[in-house]
Amino acid sequence: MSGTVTGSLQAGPLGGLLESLPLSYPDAVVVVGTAVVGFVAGLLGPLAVLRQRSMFGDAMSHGTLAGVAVAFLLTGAKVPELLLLGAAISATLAAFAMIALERAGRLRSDAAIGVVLSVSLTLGIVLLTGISDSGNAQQSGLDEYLLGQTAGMVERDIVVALAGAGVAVAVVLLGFRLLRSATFDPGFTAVAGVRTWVVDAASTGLLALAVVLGVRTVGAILMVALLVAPVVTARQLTTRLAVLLPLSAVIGAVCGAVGGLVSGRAELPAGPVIVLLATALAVLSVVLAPRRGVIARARAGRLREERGRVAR
Amino acid sequence: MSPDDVMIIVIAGLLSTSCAVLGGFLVLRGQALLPDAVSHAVLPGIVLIFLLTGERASLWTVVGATAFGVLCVLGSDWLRRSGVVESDAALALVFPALFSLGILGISRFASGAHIDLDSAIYGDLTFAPLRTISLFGADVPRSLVITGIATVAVVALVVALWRPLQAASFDPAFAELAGLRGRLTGQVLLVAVAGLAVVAFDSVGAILVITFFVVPASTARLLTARLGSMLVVAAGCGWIASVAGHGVAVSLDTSIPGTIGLTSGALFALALVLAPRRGLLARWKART
Amino acid sequence: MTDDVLAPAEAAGGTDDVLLRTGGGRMTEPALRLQGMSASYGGRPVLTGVDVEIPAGVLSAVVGPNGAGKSTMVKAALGLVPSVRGTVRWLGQPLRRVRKRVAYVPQSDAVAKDFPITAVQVVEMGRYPHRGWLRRLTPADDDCVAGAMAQVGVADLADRPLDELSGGQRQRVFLARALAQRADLIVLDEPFTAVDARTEKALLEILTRLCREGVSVIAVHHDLREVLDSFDHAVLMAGTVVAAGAPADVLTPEHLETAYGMAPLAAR
Repeated sequence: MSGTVTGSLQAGPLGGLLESLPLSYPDAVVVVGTAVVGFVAGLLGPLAVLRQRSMFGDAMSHGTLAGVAVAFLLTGAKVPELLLLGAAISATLAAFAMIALERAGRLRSDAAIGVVLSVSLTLGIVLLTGISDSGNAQQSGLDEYLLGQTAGMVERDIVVALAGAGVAVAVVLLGFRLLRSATFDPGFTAVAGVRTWVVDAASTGLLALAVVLGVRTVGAILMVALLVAPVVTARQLTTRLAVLLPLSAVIGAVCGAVGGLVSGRAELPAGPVIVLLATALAVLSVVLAPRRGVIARARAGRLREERGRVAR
Repeated sequence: MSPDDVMIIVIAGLLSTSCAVLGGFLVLRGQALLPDAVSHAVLPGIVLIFLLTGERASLWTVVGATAFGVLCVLGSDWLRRSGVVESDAALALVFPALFSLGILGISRFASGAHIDLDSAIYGDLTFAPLRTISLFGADVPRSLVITGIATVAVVALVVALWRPLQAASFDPAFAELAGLRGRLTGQVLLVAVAGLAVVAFDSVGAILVITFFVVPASTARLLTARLGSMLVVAAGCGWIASVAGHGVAVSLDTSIPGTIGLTSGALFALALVLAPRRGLLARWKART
Repeated sequence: MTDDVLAPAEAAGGTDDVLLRTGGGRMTEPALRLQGMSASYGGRPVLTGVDVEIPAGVLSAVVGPNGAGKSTMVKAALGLVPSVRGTVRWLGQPLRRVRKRVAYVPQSDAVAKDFPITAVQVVEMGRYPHRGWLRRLTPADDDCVAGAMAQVGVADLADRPLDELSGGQRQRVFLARALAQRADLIVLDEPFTAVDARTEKALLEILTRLCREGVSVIAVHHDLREVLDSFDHAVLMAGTVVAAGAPADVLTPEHLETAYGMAPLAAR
């Protein structure tokens, strides 16, 4: 075991980076891995939250299970990249199913999400049950996708996550203006000649990317919090999208890194620790934020009222 | 079919009836995702009661779990009303945090205990007939008693609150002005959903909770034009899914809650395409 | 059952008497009186220092530009907005004592669009204030519902699902619900927004007729021309009350300048 670790330490492309951290190698892998996952989720979370589609992310992350199971059944082996691909495909399918139910089926969005969430989760469970009943020795660990797992994280996972992060950053930079008009003013993009389905497809693809990268670390059930909490925190501190996106990404990365480290030290599962950290920050910012916080607003309201009374 | 099989179907069917009746209102009020959130949020309640009493299936468990379910509902409602967070984001913020607390509680303090996460999520409907309690001298499956009581209570509640529930779901301002206490009955509905989600969670696991609350009600909405018939059809869909899903699970030897969920989904897909007035085919024909 | 005395038309009973009311004598109190009312949404004040009296037995309009707080004033007075201060008197009394006598027709998008309900079931709700949570609707209630539907011309739509009706038909159904309540005062929030011209004219005629019979009508409205032509009374809003009284006295160029920052009637 230690042999392979040293081996990858020398051979891994990230060896230098991981070594430079004041941490043991396994800790460094987990911290960097969760930080990257948090970064991507924080960067892409606004695509869901600002368009009032937060729970979309929940259904998509539950949708990954069926894809993982199918990929495993097709390849018969646990190749992480193929499982991720399966997860990405089924998460995207789930997203399109929800959009189709809303548009063509005239369902309200919460009912559409509920139906897709339910069907994709039960499908995933049935498939996973089938796999575990078939007694395939390698299957153990497939259901870690439900609750997440950092223990098995290796350098290769970080490379994959970094590649995903690169894609996410590139797409967000290239499409920033489009993204801004689509998130804040859906009517505008239609006018500007860009079809709404293009924007929908692109943002769905990006969300699928974030979900798929995160789902193995924090789990399908908790993934939605990693998409939503950093955005809520950042939203309390800024109203400009150009600031919001990087801020939310950094918050996500910090929660990921700190959560990963703490959970390793305290021997707790990483997903819940990261999620609780991110949620605590979000709740703090909702209460305490300088201008948009609950306290600040209440104070401003009272001031205005007093001023009004004096004026009269 | 063995008596155990019948028992499983009856438990699932009873549960689907009560879930469909409350779920119908949730779907119409735009709160369809609440049961899913609640079913996750109850975990810390179950763990806490286990740590305090050492029991994992007592009346206290139900009370503790319901308390956290209500906490989830109230917490997300507070976030929403603060005007800072949209309602969907509020829900997405609250329930994962509570579920996380539950998992941490299990892994820190109760890892030796038999709070089996798998059975909490997948449900152990298969073993439901085996866990019995004695009632009037006879051994009766615990889940049957609990789901039976829950179903009767839910149906009685909805009958008693029919007018305020109907009016407040349709036209909240009218319900308030007519003196029907619409907001109050809305809160009663949410507490009932939390309690029922706990019962369902205990018997069929978290997966089927969202299925039973949302899918049959959405199917029925496609097929009916009146609230009353919608709720009856929704309960019917739940029973059909329970019977058929159980059959499929037995013949394929797979997860019973899973196949019940898939059968519900299949019924929904059928209704979506073929429903007489609101189905895709009917609307496509009406357009051409 | 003493409460039912407050619904005089019900005592008269019978479908033919739907329009017959005994109200006249009690109408000395104003339909609505607001004193020092203010309301806010999420800490942001929408209305401040509203003092106004709307007389009973007339067709009154609440007008003003978008965001002037027209709907908010009405909703706040009806207790549908959380943070409200000031004194509100409907028909001379606090709202809770006259609930049954006040009917409300909401803005069309405030109602669940996709609700499984038939037209007659909507109109039956108009009897709920009199029958409460549990008491069954009597044959007299059924007559009242049928009469109200006939009066607004939707009797033939009784069993149609609401989501199959046009905007105009829906609005007629909601007015029928208010009529079925046999209220002394009907409040309508933007009743003509999703409605065709013919329905608008028909609804306006019904409302005018109701006023002749002693019912008070308050409608939030945006069509100043129509207010001038058909309404007896107007309240012009812009965050507070700019002017109130006879439409011709209220909708003067100076007042409109204050409310809109320009003269919208001249602009047409």
